[in-house]
Amino acid sequence: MKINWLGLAQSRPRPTVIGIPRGLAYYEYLPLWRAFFEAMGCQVLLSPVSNPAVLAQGKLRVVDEACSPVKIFFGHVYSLQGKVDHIFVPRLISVQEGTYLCPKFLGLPDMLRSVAALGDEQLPLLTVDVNCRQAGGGWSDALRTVGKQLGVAASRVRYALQTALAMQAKYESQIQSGMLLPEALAPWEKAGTLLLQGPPVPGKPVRKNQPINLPGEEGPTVVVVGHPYVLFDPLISMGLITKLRKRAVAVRTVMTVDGEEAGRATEHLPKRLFWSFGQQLLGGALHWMGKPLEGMIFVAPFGCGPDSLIGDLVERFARREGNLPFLLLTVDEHGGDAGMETRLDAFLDVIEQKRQVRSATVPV
Amino acid sequence: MKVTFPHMGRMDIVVKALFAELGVEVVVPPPISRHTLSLGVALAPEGACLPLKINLGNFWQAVEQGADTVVMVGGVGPCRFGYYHQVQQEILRDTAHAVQMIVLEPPEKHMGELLQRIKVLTGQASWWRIVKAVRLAYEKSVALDRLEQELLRLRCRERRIGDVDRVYGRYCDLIDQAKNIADVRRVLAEGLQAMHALPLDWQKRPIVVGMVGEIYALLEPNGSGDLAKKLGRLGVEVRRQLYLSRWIQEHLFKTRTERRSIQALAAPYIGCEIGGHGQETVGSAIALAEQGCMGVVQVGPLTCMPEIVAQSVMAQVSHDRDLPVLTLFVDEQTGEGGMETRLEAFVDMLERRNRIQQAGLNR
Ligand code: SF4
Ligand code: SF4
Repeated sequence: MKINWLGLAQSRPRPTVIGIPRGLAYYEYLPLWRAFFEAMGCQVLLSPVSNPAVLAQGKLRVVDEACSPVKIFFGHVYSLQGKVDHIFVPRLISVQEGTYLCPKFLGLPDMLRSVAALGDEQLPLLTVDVNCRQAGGGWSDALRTVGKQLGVAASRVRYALQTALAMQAKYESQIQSGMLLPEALAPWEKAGTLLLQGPPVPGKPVRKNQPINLPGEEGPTVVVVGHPYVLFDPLISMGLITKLRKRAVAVRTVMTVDGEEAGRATEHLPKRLFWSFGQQLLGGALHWMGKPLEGMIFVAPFGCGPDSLIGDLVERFARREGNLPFLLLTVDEHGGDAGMETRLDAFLDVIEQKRQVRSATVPV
Repeated sequence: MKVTFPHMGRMDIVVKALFAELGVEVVVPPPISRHTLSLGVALAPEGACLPLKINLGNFWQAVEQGADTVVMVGGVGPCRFGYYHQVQQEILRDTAHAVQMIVLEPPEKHMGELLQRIKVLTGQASWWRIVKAVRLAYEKSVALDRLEQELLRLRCRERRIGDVDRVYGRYCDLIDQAKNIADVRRVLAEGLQAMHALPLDWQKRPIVVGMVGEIYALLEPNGSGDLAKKLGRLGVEVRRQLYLSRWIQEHLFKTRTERRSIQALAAPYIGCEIGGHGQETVGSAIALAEQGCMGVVQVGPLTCMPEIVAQSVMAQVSHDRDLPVLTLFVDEQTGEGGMETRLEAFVDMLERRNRIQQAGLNR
């Protein structure tokens, strides 16, 4: 409690602190969440960037069979324990009409609650269903419920929701315009209260879907297909993106492909994927296959159910497409770095050879 | 058009009955063998769940016997099953065993939709014939499930190993041959009688274990490393809640079953449907414990998402209900050895617990 110069206790209470675990849906929705909580007057604390200690925390608590993104998510949740008033773990059932997320997203709060109950631990989870399969059951509805749970006045919640949705829309358009996710996300990951500092100003977006090469990208254009929480988690992806960029590869992702484009790319399939992220991965990969590309990498975490099927479909389509160099990388938490380096080098060698063949046969 | 379908327990008898009545030519895939499994493993993506792999082996072998069309049930998620057919079709397309895939999406609301879809499949069959075919097939499914239930119950009482399985197999074949509903019912009654007439140890007070988990692992012996039989041979009476006829009622006929109450039991642990049978696994474990099972074995294919979620809360269920739970994940490499030792240890533990409890009661 602060004492002001008149010696009176300031009546403003300490703001509620909301913890946000740095995993899974974080990469897609952080701006929405953070803007929402801050606009309601809460403070936001992010869990630390993934590191071996966080992973170890998670592995201690989750069943062995879980995929690495879920394991590390548990670690992130527990690293916030005792530091915040609430830990925000929404139950993402469906974020798009007619689709689902992976069953593990659906059961996430249950798994956490159960582990905490068994260990007699205090885990102040703040959770809400996000279910676009029900009328009005999207993010707006979910966040309104959260506001109510926190006891915030309805008018303030309305304002916060508006702010949050606007910020999220901007974030999504930046990503679709070609900005790599970590760059778009960076301003939202700063410490302190962002909305007091004025809304985050991102760098300039690149032109849409154009594999134009940025400085340091003299190498081949390669599309990396994978969940954002895999690709951009330095531990889960074993630093893949950095490794590629060090090799001057122009990295593109499927995040730049919007829903409509992804839908068109999968039009010829008899059935749409009912996983929204799956549709993004498959549709995005197929969309890119029609562009001038030099290689494609599909990154699947070990033990991921959906990716075992989506990865196979993408590989099949890539092979039918002709001679697009394709690499299926399975990353897992015990994986050695060395193996990945060799595989990347071999893959880039193939691309390089093709470049040379091309330049030898096509007269300039 | 020569139609085939994947194996799952004795579902072949049910599907055959349906199509035979409708005049559709059927190729039943050869029984699942090591060869089937290795075919599936070679064709399927490595990380796919076991049922998808075995299905593929089934299709391959059926195509070799002249099938050109596969009929599968679909699904709309969130687990992998709803997407099996698409992946399987693409895989077979890249081989010399391409097939046409007909997907029967489960009806959204009521059974009429299903009948409609079957009608499209058969072309000119009359409504009357379709209804008749569905009724006979369903009756067979009910009878087969009843026989299997008895098989699980009586195996542990066998005085001669293999007796109950043999009678079960024989009466499955007779149900297969039954021409109408009355026939099916008569064969079932005879089958149960024949099982009970075997030399069985009726004095025995066996350990009772509930089997819960993913549907394929529960219904298809090859999907669980023959778990039920192994338990039976260890002297355990096995109980299960999920059978094919109930699945048909729920998903195809859209009638109400005990599933609702099972889900209600699971709700404190898993608050929504998570796909597959994840929520039901938890509810069933509780229900079976309430019905007197002394322990529960949860079984699912390796990497099965809903079962991993269920497994994550099972420790708490086990704690709250003082119920021993053993979770087994099965893949193509589930070696006989590894699983057997774990089962034996689990059953030993249950027996010890049981003795201690009995002693406590008698005191
Ligand atoms: S989609 Fe894959 S990686 Fe993501 S939670 Fe599900 S199983 Fe894990
Ligand atoms: S329930 Fe499990 S085993 Fe069955 S399809 Fe789904 S993920 Fe695979």
